[in-house]
Amino acid sequence: MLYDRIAPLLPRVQKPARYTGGEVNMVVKDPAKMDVRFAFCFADTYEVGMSHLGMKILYHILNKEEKVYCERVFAPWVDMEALMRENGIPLFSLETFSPVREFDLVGFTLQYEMSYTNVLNMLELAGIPKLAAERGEEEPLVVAGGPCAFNPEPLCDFIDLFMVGDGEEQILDLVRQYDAFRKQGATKEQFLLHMAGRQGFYIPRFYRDSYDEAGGFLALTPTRPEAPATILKAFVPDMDAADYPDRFIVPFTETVFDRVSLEIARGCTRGCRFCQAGMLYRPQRERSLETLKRQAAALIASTGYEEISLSALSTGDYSCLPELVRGLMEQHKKDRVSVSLPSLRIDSVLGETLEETRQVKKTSLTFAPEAGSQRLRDVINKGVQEEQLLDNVSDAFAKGWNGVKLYFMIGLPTETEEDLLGIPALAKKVTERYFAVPKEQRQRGLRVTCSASSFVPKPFTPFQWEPQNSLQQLMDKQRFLREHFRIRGVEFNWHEPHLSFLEAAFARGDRRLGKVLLRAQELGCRFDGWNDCFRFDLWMQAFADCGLSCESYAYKRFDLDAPLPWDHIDCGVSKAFLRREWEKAQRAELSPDCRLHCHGCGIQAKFGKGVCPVAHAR
Amino acid sequence: MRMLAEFQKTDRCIWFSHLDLQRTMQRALRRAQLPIAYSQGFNPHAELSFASALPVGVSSLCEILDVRLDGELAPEAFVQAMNGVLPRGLRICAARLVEDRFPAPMAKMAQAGYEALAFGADLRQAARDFLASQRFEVEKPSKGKVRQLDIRPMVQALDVELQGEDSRLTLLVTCTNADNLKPELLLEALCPGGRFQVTRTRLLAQGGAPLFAWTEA
Ligand code: SF4
Repeated sequence: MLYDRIAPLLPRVQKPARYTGGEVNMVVKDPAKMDVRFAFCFADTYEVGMSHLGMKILYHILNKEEKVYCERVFAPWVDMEALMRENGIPLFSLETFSPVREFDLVGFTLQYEMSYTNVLNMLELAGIPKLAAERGEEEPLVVAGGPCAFNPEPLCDFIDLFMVGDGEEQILDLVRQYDAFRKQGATKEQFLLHMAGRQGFYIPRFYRDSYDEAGGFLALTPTRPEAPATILKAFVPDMDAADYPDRFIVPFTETVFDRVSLEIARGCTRGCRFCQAGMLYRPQRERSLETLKRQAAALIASTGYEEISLSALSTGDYSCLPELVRGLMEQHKKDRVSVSLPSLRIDSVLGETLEETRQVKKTSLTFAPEAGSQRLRDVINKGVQEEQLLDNVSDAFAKGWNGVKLYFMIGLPTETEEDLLGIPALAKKVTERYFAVPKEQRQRGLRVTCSASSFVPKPFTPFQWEPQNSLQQLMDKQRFLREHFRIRGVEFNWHEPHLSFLEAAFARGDRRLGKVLLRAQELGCRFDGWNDCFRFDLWMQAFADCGLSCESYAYKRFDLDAPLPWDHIDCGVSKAFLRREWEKAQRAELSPDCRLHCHGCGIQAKFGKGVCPVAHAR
Repeated sequence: MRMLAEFQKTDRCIWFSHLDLQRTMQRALRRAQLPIAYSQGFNPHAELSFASALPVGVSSLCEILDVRLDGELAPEAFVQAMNGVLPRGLRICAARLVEDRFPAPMAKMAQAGYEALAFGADLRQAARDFLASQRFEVEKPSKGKVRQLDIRPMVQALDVELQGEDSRLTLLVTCTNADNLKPELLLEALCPGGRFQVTRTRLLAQGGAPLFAWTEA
């Protein structure tokens, strides 16, 4: 067994429990008795992957099938990777220490662009040919899903099948069809042709890309009659009916999010113009109070976790948040379980819920104004008023909070120096609100943390046509901000713009980037999202070796009428709507929240009238 | 009242740390829904301690958990409930109910016994040399630096038996709160670069006496 060869390496690596599984609630089955073995791969470390809710959901759904065994695979950290290569140990699953190569389906969840090299590296470690074209019938089928599957083009050389959209029903469809086809003795090609016609599945090998003389993207054309011109995302209309795990694996070792998380809603009604998730997961669908309380009870009992967190793109918008928080507290008072609310929006029902969270757990407050000035916030449709934010902050300080985190983006379309200056100015006002609270009433030790990340234009947003700021511009802006951020009680953090630069290229990339990716991984790039592993120089070399430039992708301004490399994917939101939103952005004109006004984003035209609960409720 | 429990840490469970063990036990106690005393405050946790921290990678047949109760609980019920919720590799073998003022096992710790297999190495001569020496300095990495440590006085017994190609070692070493000789340090000194499999077999008080009796006298 592979374990006997892995164990001797473990004393030589950091955090060996990353590689040994065996946790409470891990699913145990006999691989020999299975019809389909699915290796669920997360292209990052164990701690990151085990914090990911989507993986927990799909692990549960797949393993409910009696004859399917879904096992987890993570990227080994660099110390372990070196030992595995040295000792010829292939990438393995945590459940049974089986080589990934032995699985039927190898599935990656694509959470962020900068994990793509890890996908290739993991295939290499598994001993599976990285290029789909080089894999034979005996090799596993390599599939991928997750948010980045909405623009899958840069990965098309490596992936046999993409799953676009909500995964709950789709992943079952995949394994069942796979099982049926294999039992009939079908070839990979026959199976993929069949899948090409099913909603949400994209089979890149049945399409050909073309470019004009200047290298601009022209079209992606189906090469087989079975392949549809556009692929509509998979969609789960009713969250109460959607399956949710009643048990989570409880890691031994600490992970990023180590608690019960309840997905209270999917989608968002805000319509922020930079936000890809807000567009991809339309319409907003909530789970009911009863469902959530039932799920919480089951999960607390099966895991022994001491904390419940509520997860959604905009937690504060959940329609009966105070009742939910109160209900969960009531239900779990005797278990000494705390309830925490991450990603609070500044204009949510914060006032009412503040009291409750405070009673249970005092986490620091998070606000994401995103831009420093009202004008720019209007451009990005972050309909947030400064006074409102400050009043909420005052309220929180008066109630004993002393930590506030503020998130901003730099490099947003139309940004000026004045907008930038608004960022430290807002931070300063926050501190003033703290000092305005009488000394005896406020908690000592004010901590205001301001983070500024670089804006990355993403497909399926109204800013999909916009160029990213140049690296030089972003660095200048950061320097400018640092100079203006000498404020007592305020810490200013900024993100590495080089990483955002690459992210921008891959987010809006086309198929040609596949060879850059391959070259970068050959040169040794992986764990690009980790500061100590990120090698910008190697990335630039990879681009140069392939005769392409990162700039031409990241800085590209697409013509509004030009074909886009992701046009064949249909996330339900129409291009006409995105364009209207782009035009409004140019005029700094707001589009009110969907709960106030339906903007006809196209989702109802795609999935039927009444499919958007928000539009329907009004 | 407190519950003292002897448990094994084996199998895949040898790879997580002492801190992880604490977290794992906390959560197991919650799942088992036993009448455990919890601390006050925003992050209430069970008041528990262990006799001694076990190094990562070492199995044990004799770890001791000490947890304070706030209600009636029979030792048998504790063992059964906990074994129902613990992962494979953690297993309670015995439990005893004691008064609050019963001395903490941790405070009585003096020595620990280990059995180790050194694969493909005959360590009989190395062991004889070690025992014959007055001082035996090894390099011990601590907080980023390496310091010299004389481990000879910390080894009370060292016995080697050849088993085919491998050596089977039986050790008795100092293991108090302040001084805890990790067997790895000694094994590495006897057989640099060797491959070992180590199991903790005994936790002992001063003079090799048992920490306490598992049944009341
Ligand atoms: S259909 Fe209307 S209300 Fe619903 S998400 Fe689209 S724009 Fe918003």
